[in-house]
Order: sequence, then structure tokens, then C-alpha cells
Amino acid sequence: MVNASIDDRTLAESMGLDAEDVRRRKDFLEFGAQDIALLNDLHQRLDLDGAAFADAFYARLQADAEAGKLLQDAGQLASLKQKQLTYFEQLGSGEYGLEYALARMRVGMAHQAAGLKPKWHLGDYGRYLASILPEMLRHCGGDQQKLLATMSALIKRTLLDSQISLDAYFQSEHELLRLLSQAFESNIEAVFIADMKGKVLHANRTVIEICGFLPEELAGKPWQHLFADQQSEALAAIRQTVANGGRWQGEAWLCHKSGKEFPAWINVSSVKDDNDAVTHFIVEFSDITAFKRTQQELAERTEELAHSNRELEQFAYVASHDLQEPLRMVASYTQLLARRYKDKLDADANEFIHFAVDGATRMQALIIDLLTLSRVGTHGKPIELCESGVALDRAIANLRLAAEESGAVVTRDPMPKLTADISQLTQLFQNLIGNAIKFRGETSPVVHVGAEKRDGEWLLSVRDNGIGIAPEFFERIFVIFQRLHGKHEYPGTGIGLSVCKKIVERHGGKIWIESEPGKGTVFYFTLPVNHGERRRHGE
Amino acid sequence: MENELGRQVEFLLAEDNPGDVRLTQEALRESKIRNNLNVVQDGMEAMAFLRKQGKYAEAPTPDVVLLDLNLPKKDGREVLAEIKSDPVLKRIPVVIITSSEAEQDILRTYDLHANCYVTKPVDLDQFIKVIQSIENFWLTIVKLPSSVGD
Repeated sequence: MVNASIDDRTLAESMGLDAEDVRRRKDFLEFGAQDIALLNDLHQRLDLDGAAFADAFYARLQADAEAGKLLQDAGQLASLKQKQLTYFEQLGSGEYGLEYALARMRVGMAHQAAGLKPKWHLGDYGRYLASILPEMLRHCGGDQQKLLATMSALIKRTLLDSQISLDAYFQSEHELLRLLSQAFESNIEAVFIADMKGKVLHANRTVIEICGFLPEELAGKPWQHLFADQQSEALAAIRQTVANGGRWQGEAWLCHKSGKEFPAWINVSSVKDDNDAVTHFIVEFSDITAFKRTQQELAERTEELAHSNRELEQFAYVASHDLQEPLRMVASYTQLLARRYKDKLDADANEFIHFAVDGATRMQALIIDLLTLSRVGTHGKPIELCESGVALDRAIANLRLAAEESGAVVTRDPMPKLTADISQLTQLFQNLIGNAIKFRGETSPVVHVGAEKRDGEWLLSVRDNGIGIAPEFFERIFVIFQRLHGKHEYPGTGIGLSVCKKIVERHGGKIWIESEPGKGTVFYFTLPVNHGERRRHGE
Repeated sequence: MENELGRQVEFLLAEDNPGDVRLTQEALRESKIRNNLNVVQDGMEAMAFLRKQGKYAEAPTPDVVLLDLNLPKKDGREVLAEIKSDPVLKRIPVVIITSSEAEQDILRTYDLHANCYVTKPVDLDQFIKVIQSIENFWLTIVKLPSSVGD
């Protein structure tokens, strides 16, 4: 522990040490002008060297086995000697006023801060006194009257010294204790100290506020009464920790005086004596009801969100599924009309029928794609170890017609084993390669599928030599129904890349694009090496 | 066109959507094969028809069952399961008509063996082709059980 000390002005104030106080101390001791004159006389005779005196004083303390331990810091020792010297100079000045008292007080303070107890520094003082007695005897010659008076003055001065020194020593300790106990009392955490029999020796205000007990109700009460469940695991763990002199932290339910239980976060630490034996333990705790409530609310909201997401996916699925039925009726009967009445209606009617059928056909394409998109989340298959090469083969086979028509060439790196839903991986390759073929440039499409292992994930890529995309559209193309071209230029529903994004995200990966208009496009996506089966359908 | 049975082909269509019933009728009207379309509206009726129960005592044994998956009272999946576990009925070929490929997936997960799956197409020409392909299917592959029975 850092032994914080207060400054000397604060100490003098709290001791009430001022010129008036010094006068009263002297009056009460009957330490008067005659005593001071005798002492000054004696000092002249002794002609003591302050520095030598201070050196000798601390050398003797250092020689002691116990006191010596407290004086190992050179800086601290120098500071002690300096204070001792200043005090000594005050003695020599022969005034014994406030300055002297303050110098004496500072020595007392410094001794307290160093942990030098009165038994040592007063002991040393005694030896100093004994050492000057022979010289004093010689100084007085045979004059018994003078010897008696000088002796009496010396004793009074010694007592004056000692009382100031001791007052300073204890006041310093008292001030420090007051600070510490204030820190303890006003701690925002509830803190109590108990002895090894389990009796609460001291509890701060917060304990009383949180638990509702009056200080006298708590004092001497067994500490475990604050716990809601006397058989709880936390209580057993705390007992064990205290017995071993360790530290513990965790959650437990505590009990208010009213019987109301509340969750608390608890810190327990042990207090040991100089021999490392556990003498007390300190329990700190705070009421975490509000925190728990927030946590609970967050979990509920997350669950609600997941639920509404699932419902939304289910809704999209059902809606797109059920939309097909009436749509088919519209398209089929319009066509039946055309078939039966082709020659009986005029050219306008034929055109109208054409648009009606075309609209229905495009709407069905949209619905099928929407179904595919919603099925990524709702009808995924397990994510497990599979050959990505097989998925790629299947995708290319599905695209055979389009590839042959356009003269596309698809090359590949060695394809790795991956943890993925193989049918979704197939769909992913199919959509990306299909895209590459669809958005081809003047020359035949050349598509390369790359695979590269990086930190904990596979980076896969589909590179083409097609028309490319301007950077401002890089984000947009993954958004549902976003199309960059007119329907007459490049047909499509604008869902394909949304499906890709959803598939990659279901696998815990990312998808992005690098492209330049006229220079081709690369789609990149990552798949974690060990995704496991954390996100199976329905979760 | 006369088929190998020397009689008209008996279809049983289990379908509750009148629009689809009518379309099937229209498609079969254009068929080259002489056929008769029997229609039931739900799964219970379908089973009653196949087992010649109640008002269906005089019903013909269908040569092909066209089974919609979403039927009232007893859905297509249950009807299929009953047909396939009935020693008499299990030889009748069943064509499952679904509204989407998604439904086929669902059905496959139940491990029921339909003879064929057909997705309802949005296009009339396609639909007619589908019906014709069912006829061809019946005329070529499906004749096997009856020849075994001869």
C-alpha cells in the first residue's frame, strides 16, 4: 500500500498547533524564560553539531534489526535527517516558539510516515539525553541549585518535544485513517469487513442503503445472512476462497432486509497479517438489477428481431409461393384465349395478349427468384465439409447451354475442400459465372475461378473479361431488384447477386467486387475454414 | 389414336382449383389419345375413387393419377403415401403436380416415391406439352405393369 501522508499545514491545523497553543503547552509545563535561559546556556557549553547529531541518531536506529528495516530508502533517510537538523537548529535558536514546535511536529510526522514507532524514536531520544548528562554535570560544577534547575528545564523541554512529537505522530495516523475510512464509507460499492468467525465488523453506508439494515443491525451479524440462498454455490466458493486467503468475484443473489432478493456482482478479498495468516476478509458488492434487466431486455429484443426476421423470410416465401397460383391462371387463360380466338380477333388483340403473357412470364421469373432468395435463409441444408470442385462442376453443367452459345471458357485453380452447404455453393458459382457469361463484352467470355487460403478463411474469386461495372455501383448491385441495364439489353430480375450475398453471409463470409468498365470484373467472396454447423436452417 | 389397351385412357385428376381442372380438360381435348378425365376435389375423394367406395362404386380404375400436392382434407403427400402402401393401388402410376420446385424438395424429404414430378408451368403451350408428355410416359413406360398382369 502506498502510505499517503497529509501535508504539514493540514496536520498543524488538525492538531490545533499555533502560537497560542505553543504558549499554553509551555505554560502548563511551567516551561518559562528561566528554563530557556538555562538550556541556551547548556547548549553553548555542549556546542553540538546538528548534522553529526542527526547521523548518530539514525545510525543507532539503523543498527536495530526491526527499526533498521524501516530506514532502507536513502531518499527517505536524507529527508528525515534534514527535518531532524532543522529541528535541531530551532533548539539552538533558543526561542521555543511556533517555528520550533512546527519543526518538531514535522519530525513526528516523518517518523509516522516511515513507520518508526515511538518505542524507537523516543528510545533513541533517551539515549541522547543520557549521553549529555555527564557534560551537564561538569557544566554546573558543584552548583546543586543550578544542576537542579538545568535538569528541570531539560526534562520540561524533553516533555514538550515528546508531546508535540507524539501528537504529530498520532494525528498523522488519525488523519490518514480518517481519509481511508471516508473512502471506505463513501464508496459507491457496498463494502463490509468481517472477521474469520464471519462477524461483520464494519459495513459502509452503501451496504446499509442497498440492504436496508441499520448499522447496529448489521454489526456482529453473520455475513452470510446477506445472501438469499444459504446453500448457494457462490457462498461455498467464497468460503473456500476466504479460507485459502484468495480473491473471488462473481454473481450471487443477495437479500434485502425486507426479504426482497436482488442480483449482485461480488468481489471478495482476504486480509492477511504480517505472518501471512488470514485475519479478515473484505466483501464488496453492487446491485446489478438494472444491468440484468438491460441484459434481459437486450436478449429479448434480439430474439424478437430474429423472430421477426424468420417471419419475414417465411412471409416472403409463402407470399411468393402463393402468388404463383393466380398468376398461372392469368397467363394460361390469356394464352388459351389467343389459341382459340386468334383468327377471330384483330391485330390489337393479339398484341394485348402478347403483353399480358409477357408480363405474367416476367412476373413468374421474379417470383421464382424471390422464392430462391427466401429459401437461402429458410431452407438451407447443413453446412458441412464438401468439395468445392464438385459444386463448381455442377454449376458449369447447369450453365452448359449458355456457355456453348457464347463460346465461354471456364478455367479454375485447384479447388479446396470447404465447409459449406454444397447446393448453395453451387448456386453461388452458377450465379456468378452466369453473370460473367451474361455481361460479356465483344469477345467470348473467359472466366477464371480462383481459390486462395488466407487467415482462417478461403478467398474465392470469379474473374471475367466482360463489360465491367463502374465503382459507384459496387454496393448497389448486391441490393435486391437493383439493375444497371434495361430489360431489352440484359434480361433479368435483379435478384441473382442478392442471392449470392445472402448465401455468403449465411456461411459467415463476405462478398465484394473489383471492376473497371470495359476491363472485366472480379467477384471475391470468403468462406471461413471452420464454419461448423452453427447456422443451420431454422436457427 | 387408339392405344395399346384398345380402350380410352382413364385419368384421375385430384385438383381443387377449377382453373387448373379446366386447363387440364382443355389440354386433353387437344390430345391425340382417346381419354376420359375423372376429377375429384380433395384427397378423401381421391382415395374413395381409387377404392371404388360409396358413389364411386362404379368408377373405372384409373390408368394414371394426376395428383395436386395441395389438396383439402387429405393432402397429396398423404394420398401418395396411401396409394404406395396399398398392394392393389401401388402399381398405378402417380404424377405429382406441384406449384414450385420448392414443393418437390419438401416431398422428397418424406422419401415418398412418386413416379414423376411435374411443376405447373405458367405457359399454356408448356402445360399442353406437359400433359402430352404424361400421355407418352404412360404409353411407353407405364404399360409394363399391365402387360405383366396379362
